[in-house]
Amino acid sequence: MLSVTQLTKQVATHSGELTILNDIEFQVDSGESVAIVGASGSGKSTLLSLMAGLDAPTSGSVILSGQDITQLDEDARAQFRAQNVGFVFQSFHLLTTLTALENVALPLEIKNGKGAYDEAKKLLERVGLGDRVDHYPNQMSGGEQQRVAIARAFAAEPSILFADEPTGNLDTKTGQNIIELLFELNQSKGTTLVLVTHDLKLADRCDRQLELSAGQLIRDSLRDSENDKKASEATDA
Amino acid sequence: MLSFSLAWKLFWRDWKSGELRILIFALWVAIGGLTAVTLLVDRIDRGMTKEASQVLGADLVISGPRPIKESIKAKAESLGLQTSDLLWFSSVVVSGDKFQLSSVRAVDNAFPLAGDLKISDRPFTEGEETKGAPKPGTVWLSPRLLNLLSVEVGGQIQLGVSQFTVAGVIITEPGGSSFFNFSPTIMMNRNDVAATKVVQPGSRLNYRLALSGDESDLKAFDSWVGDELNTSQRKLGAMSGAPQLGSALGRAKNYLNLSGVLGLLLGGIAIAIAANRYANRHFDHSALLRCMGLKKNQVLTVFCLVLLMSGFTGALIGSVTGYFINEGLIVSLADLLPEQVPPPRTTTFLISIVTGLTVLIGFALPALIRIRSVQPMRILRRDLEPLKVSNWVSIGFAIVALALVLYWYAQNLKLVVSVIVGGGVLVMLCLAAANGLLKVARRWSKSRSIAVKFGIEHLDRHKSASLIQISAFGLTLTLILTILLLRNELIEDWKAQLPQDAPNHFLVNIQAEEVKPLQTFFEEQQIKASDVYPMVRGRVTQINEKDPKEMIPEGERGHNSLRRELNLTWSSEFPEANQLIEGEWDMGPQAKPVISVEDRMASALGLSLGDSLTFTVGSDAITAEITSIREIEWDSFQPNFYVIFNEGALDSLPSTYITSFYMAPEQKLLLNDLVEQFPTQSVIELDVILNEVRKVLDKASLAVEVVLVFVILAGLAVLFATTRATLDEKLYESAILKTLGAGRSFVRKTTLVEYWVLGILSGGLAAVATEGLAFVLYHFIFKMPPEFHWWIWVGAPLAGLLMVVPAGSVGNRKVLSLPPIAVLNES
Repeated sequence: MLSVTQLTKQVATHSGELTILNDIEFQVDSGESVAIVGASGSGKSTLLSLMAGLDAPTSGSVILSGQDITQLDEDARAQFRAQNVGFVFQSFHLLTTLTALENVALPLEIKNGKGAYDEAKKLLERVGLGDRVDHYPNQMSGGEQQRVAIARAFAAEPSILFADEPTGNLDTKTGQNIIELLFELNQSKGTTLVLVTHDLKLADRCDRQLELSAGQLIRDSLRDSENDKKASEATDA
Repeated sequence: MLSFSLAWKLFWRDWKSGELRILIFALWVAIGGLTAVTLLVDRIDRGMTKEASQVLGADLVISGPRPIKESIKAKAESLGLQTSDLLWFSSVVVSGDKFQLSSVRAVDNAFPLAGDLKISDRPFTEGEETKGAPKPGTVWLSPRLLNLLSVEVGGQIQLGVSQFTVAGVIITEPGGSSFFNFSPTIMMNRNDVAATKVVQPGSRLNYRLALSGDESDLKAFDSWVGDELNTSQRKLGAMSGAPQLGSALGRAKNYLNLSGVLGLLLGGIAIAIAANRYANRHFDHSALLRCMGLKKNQVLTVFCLVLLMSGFTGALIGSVTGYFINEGLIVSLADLLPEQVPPPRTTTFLISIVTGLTVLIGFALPALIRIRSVQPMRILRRDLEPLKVSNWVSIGFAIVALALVLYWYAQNLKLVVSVIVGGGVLVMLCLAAANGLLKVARRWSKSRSIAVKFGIEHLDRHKSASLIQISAFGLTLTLILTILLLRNELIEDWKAQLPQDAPNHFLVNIQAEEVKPLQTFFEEQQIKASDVYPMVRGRVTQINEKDPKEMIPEGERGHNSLRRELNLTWSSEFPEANQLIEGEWDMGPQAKPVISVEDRMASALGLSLGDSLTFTVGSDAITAEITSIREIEWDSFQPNFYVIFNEGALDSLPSTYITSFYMAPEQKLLLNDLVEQFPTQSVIELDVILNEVRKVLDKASLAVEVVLVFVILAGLAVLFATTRATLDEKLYESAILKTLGAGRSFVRKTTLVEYWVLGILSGGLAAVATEGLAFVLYHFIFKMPPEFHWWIWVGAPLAGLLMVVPAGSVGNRKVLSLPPIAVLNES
């Protein structure tokens, strides 16, 4: 589903080149849920943006649904995102000038436009906001706004969903509800989920955790468990 | 389609939430003002042309010494124009033993196509409105001719070999008195001309084809006929009958159009600032849309559509408002306006709307282009600012839009280039001066209270925003002050030029021995007359004792002084309404004759001090050296002369005298006494034309005031746009200050200090700029002598304070009222 190979991102600063990500490599299977964890400044958000095609790497490749998105130009990446990628953000990023319904329908309209509003309405009912369709973001609580954002993220039925600290702006209880909703929808739609978080509870809910430190991938729970498995097999043997 | 529906939703929501309010308000005011002004100017212009055509007696006249080609008449008729065939010539009219050289007007039954023809049975009475020619065998005479020939209505006169019965007295005639036409008028039927046998080969004749009809037909004819005329034929437009009207109206139109465009420019500044804020607040939207898969250009399209929707909304309400204001003006000015004001033209609306949109695009597009360059990454890292559009690009866009609009209105490339170059220099100077002033303010603030220091430091830290604000306020104030200034000067100038008792009659052909009795007559009747000038008619035959043809290239021999006889006078007194430009006025008796020449004649003939001119007067020739050059106010309604000799220089030549005087309408019958007492003198009545001029000036003054209101409103739009532009940042900073424990009064003080400084600096800047701009405009456009205005130097900073401080406080009242947490949460 997602294959990241020798991914490096450097930026020019006053004091010379700064390496934000260094030679990152991993694969994610279809339907898998992956949490990227690490301290602030470790490069989590940059990795997310490169995987989602929001930014271009200095070197390396990102193959998403069979397409090397690092070879695409900005507009082709946009088109690719419209067809394949969904997002949930820490600060919700709803269009304040559109209603909840219009916000959810927007990616559908961008993708093909047919039946966008019916589909959007169903999704809003699914996230428990069936009676708030005509409300504007500023008339809703943080939790409600994030529900709208989740509905929007799933609206275009993306094959992969990227979430950046989806519970970061919410209290524990609301955050918990949002996590439940996210995983419930993820499972029912069979979407691959990649999320960046500080929230250990949320990370634990994922199939796999990748930990970054100073731009390096220092831990991959899958590899660890495989290694553990191999070790125990070796021990058993 | 998606772009459109998305743009529509964004537009609708932004409209409801007030995000677009300032942008649309600016457009509304700018386009409303422009529409009202252009509609008014256009309608009054067309109305006045119509009214002026009454003076000419037609909308257009083709005039020449030979019969006018049938093909021209046929074309006019095929276009549906009304035509009237006239023949003017001079001939001697005889009655008993009296002979008088007269101007004969042979007219047809279509005469007059415009204007009043009033015929009476007694001189200087009301008269009856008449249409058509006198019946065959009859004529109408002007009161003067009646008097000169000692004949009465019902009497007989002879013209050529025919006898005619006098059937009436001409009270008013269109196409009437031309200044140089001194002989009295007789009007006859065109069909009677042949029988008189006065028209012989070699006779000096003036064939005239008068035309009237729809504007568009006339225009079509006008552009067609140009190539058909031979060199001796001339086209006379409505305004050529009343040149004073033309120049007064022209100046008023210049002013109105200029104000309309300056209002639009202010609107443009407001639009640029508002669009910039709008774009800044929508960077996140752009990033999000890009995340969702919209391409760069699609995002740009969406926001451009929002801009256009705002543009059309502003333009629509603007032009409707403009229309109603214009209608209101027409109603309230009804008694000043021509009887029939033509309806507004759709093209005028379209032009205003297109102009508004051009300004919108020119001033707002650079801000929107930034939206296109927002990276999708911004959604994760808000500190990622989109690439700045180069200032040159923004300025370039604005300049192109401005140049297009200015060129459209002024149709004068030189003016456009000078306004833009001048404006550019002005803005650069404004920025440099604002920068310097800010530095001085910062130094001054060091020893002041913390609130003052903080306020001024804030301005200094956000230097580019502060400089833009100071320049924008400064420029706004400059434009408002300039318009105010020009309005005062224009109106004062008009009033001074045409006082209520400006001479409205000329008296010519006064004999030397009549001067004294005439002055006594004026004194007795309490009539205010100007000086009495002697007058001799002479032609320029040599320049520096050479033939003018050798001196002046063929294409430049068009000046009146080379084409016809000039009225020459002599005087030791410097004449009223003149100004000495070069040389000395020493015109007492001298051994050799000297002359003073009018400046435009001097430059047309390439004359300077020390050159000589030779005039032929009858059979005599007289050569004189130029010792001074004068500028003349031609519309002063005083006797004015191209050439004035020193006292006594022309004593040996036969001369008559000329004067002008003011006669109130109720004194009009005194003309009978005057003509009776001095039968050889000719009265030229200018009161009709003068009244027209005065009416135009009254109208123009009122329109000028209305325009000022618009310009001030446009200025307010700039003000609100600028204060709004810094609102977000102010909210954030004051929230931090409040969180750190600063009280409301501290925040209020720092904000007030900022606005005080902005107000004073922009006012100071406006004072300098207004004085400079006024100088340029006076000198080059309105052709008035520039003056220094001390009140601007006090008034401008004061006006700056009065505008900026309240507007800033109101515009940013949220800074004080909003709790800090609300602000911090939002950001």
